[in-house]
Amino acid sequence: MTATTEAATAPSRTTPAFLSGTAVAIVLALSTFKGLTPFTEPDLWWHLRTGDRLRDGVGLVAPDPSAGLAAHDYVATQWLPEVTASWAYSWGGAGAILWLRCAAIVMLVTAVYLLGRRYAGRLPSAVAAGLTLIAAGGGLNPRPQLISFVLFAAVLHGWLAMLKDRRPRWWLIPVFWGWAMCHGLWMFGLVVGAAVIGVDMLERRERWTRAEVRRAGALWLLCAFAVAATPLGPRLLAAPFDVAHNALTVADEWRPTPMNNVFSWAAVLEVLLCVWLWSRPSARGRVRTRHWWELVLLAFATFCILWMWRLVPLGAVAAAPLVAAAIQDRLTGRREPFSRHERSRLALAVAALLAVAAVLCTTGVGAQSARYPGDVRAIDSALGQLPRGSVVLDDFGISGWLLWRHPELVPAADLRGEIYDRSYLEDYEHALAAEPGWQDYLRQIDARAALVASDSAIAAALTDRLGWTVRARSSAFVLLTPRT
Amino acid sequence: MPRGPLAVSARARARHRGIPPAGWLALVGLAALPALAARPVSDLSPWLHLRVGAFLNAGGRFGQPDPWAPFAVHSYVPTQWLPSMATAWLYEHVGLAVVVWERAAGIGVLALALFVWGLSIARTWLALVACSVAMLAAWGGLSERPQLAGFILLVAMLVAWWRTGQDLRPRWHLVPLTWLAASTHGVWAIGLALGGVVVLGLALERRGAERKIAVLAGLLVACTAAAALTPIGPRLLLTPFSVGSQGRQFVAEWLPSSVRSPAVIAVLGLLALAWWCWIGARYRPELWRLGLWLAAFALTMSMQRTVPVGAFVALPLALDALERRFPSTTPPGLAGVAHTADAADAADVADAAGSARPAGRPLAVAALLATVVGTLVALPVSATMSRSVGDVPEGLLPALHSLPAGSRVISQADLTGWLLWEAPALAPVEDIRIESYSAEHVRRYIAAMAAEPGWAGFIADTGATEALLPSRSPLAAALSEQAKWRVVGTDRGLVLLEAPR
Repeated sequence: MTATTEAATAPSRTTPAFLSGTAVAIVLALSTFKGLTPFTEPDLWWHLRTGDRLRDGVGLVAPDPSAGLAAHDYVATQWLPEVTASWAYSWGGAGAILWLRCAAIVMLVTAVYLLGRRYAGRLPSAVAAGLTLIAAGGGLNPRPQLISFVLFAAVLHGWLAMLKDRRPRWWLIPVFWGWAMCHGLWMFGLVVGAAVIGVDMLERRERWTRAEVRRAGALWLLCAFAVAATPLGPRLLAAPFDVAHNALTVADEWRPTPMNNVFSWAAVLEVLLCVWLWSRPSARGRVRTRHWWELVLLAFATFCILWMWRLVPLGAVAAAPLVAAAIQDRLTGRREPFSRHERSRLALAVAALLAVAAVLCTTGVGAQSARYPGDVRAIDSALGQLPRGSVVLDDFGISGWLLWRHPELVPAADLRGEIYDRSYLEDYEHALAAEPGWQDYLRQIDARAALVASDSAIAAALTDRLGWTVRARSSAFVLLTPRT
Repeated sequence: MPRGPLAVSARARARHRGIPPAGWLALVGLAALPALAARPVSDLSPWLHLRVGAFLNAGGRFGQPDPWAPFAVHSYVPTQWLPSMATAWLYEHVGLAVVVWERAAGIGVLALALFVWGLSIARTWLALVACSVAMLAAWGGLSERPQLAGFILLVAMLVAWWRTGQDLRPRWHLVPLTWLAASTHGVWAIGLALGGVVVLGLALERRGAERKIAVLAGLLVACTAAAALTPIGPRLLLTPFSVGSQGRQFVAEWLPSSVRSPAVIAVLGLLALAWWCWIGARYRPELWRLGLWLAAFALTMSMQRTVPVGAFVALPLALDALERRFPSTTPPGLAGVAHTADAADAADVADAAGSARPAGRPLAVAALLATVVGTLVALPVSATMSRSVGDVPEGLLPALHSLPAGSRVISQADLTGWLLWEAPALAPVEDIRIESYSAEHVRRYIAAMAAEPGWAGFIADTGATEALLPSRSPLAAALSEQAKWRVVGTDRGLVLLEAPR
């Protein structure tokens, strides 16, 4: 159905303002609430440590003296948020980190809502944004990837805007440049742009002129060029693949999405809503033919949601405008225009929520927000008594905190898996499982202490078979040292 | 009778009365498949089913205390009693070759069922391709277990419910079929649930046929009653839940499936194809078809063991949608119907299918004959294959047989099926019948296998004096390094350890 005929048959009434306004308010309030909830994030600490080092003048590509068993230099691909977080932490402690996280989540939900508003009214857009908030919930922790989710929504906004009027959005170039200094998921922004713009050119329902094709292609290439023009240079283009090589071995979030949690269910629900609603007649009684870019965007979202746990938020964001549009098709009321009044009220609401969040972050809410690794004061104190340069056989999760809190010690391995050889990481994993050969590994690294989970096989093996003693413990971890 | 574009001219039908090239290819494939599928027994479950079957054939009955395992606290329900007893009886006369042959023949029959079903919906070559994809997707689940027989019966149930969805006619043969499936494997419950999806979808769209739908609801009730009337009794209706709750916690095949598995990709591909054809043809699928689509998606993504079922449901959806999106003017397969986006009413399709069946019937009969030939050819191949078995430590059998009767053994759960069969005098502290144990016991067992704190307590509490474990496992290291257990022997990556006397 063309826009003209749609307009001719569109009803005059809209969803009641009270209903749609309340829905938007609820979603924004929920996003603020989510942003202020405590977080259990092992990665936070090594990002802070990287930020600390960068502020001390260490280069973006440099060996980490604390990672004495690493085989490669560390490349600080996420340096901008790391420096920002380090500065914020030194200024405002955990509360400042919490506020940054809250701000990012509120921005994400707002961006998703605005994405929905391209094709739908307030109520469907709020529903899509709410679903996305739930679906992305598993990844909304204070890490640079949170910025990727926000920027992905922004970039998608730009690409979808181009589908409508074919005008290149040149502002995408600095956005990609900034994104490349924050996190490695920028490549999905480029991929989704190439996919939706490319298939729309091929569909030829409304033919793109050569000039339009040239301009869109130039924009895309300049965005890719901007990624290569950060202080890290063109090597940044290969960095995500280097990280992926080892992360696939050790990181759960790089594994396929398990369909056993509310986050993946919500994300899949977004896809299934499109499947269902696109197969049913709209409120006007017709089954609409879909544009190719809609199919490609849905395929992209489905791929992200199912392929990798860490990509679920991206998939949810990509599916959100489709969900909003599909719900809108089923409503008998017409879509409200996106007025200046709505824009200003939305901006005011976001600003007010972030101001309230800032106040709350200065209280105990902020100070007690970082729940990982828990109360480890006794362990912290005991670690401080170890000789400088001691190798610590560490649990993979707590290695980030160990790096940040005790840079004078050497963890056996840490969360920056890409700086270690893959075979070395496999030996490390086998040793943590106390599989045959674990004592050889222990001798090889000359471990002087072990900071491991209390209920782990290696904790039992060290105490029962080698006679190591408990120096300190927390509810989840135990620090062991050899009997002297 | 078909109207307009649905009608297939008598001349066209006559022109295609012969078997097309794709049909010949299918016949060769069906004849060769059983022999190609024959392999040495590689799954670890059939050993348990042999033991169960032999036990039941000898008049044994499960109860409390469990006849085999000292720590089983729930009475074992032999839900797969029929194939277990039949196979154990045949084993006495034929030997292990029967287990090998049953799998080979089962795979042939399953492929036949899917292909003939496909022929009833779409053109021959489409049916062949889709059937091949579905078989590849299901392949991981086609092992030497009653589950394979369950799949065949499930496909028969799905065919009946699919046709009921098309014409609203009750297929009363579903009642004995459900009884047979319920006596074979727990997958019958999924067949019944998918029938429920069809009836629910029809009921929601009404189509002005409330009386017919009431009859279909009665059919569902009758099928449920049939499942409750097996020798297991009404408690069979609850076993999918009791087995599932334990399985979902601890058993790999009950865990969520991975989209990176080729099988999952294949099923999702079929489903995506079906949906793309629907919207491409601007066809509004009936609710029962959409319900089956969603059910297939859920079955595929929720559990590794239900991926094959997802494939069986996706097959007709994809074929039906393809015929609607790309209608043919030639009489396809058994259906002999040209679908078009404008004239795709389900009743018309069913009428047309009925009128044109003779066009594809020779191919279906030939496919049946090819499968029979294939299963006969598989007999000598199976006999050869049965001379070796895979992944079990046969070299340790003398040592296992020399152990005192009643010796308690800790072993990998999967391997205990083989242990129960080959060394029935031994008492495993945990075995493959996971639903017979308390969740706490299973949790402690898993922690002990990982040598986590408390493993020594589990060994002491259970009184295990022997261990049959992977040589590179944490518990093998713990027992030999700390508890000073003695290595009795090793074979195929497994080690038999014995506690110090």
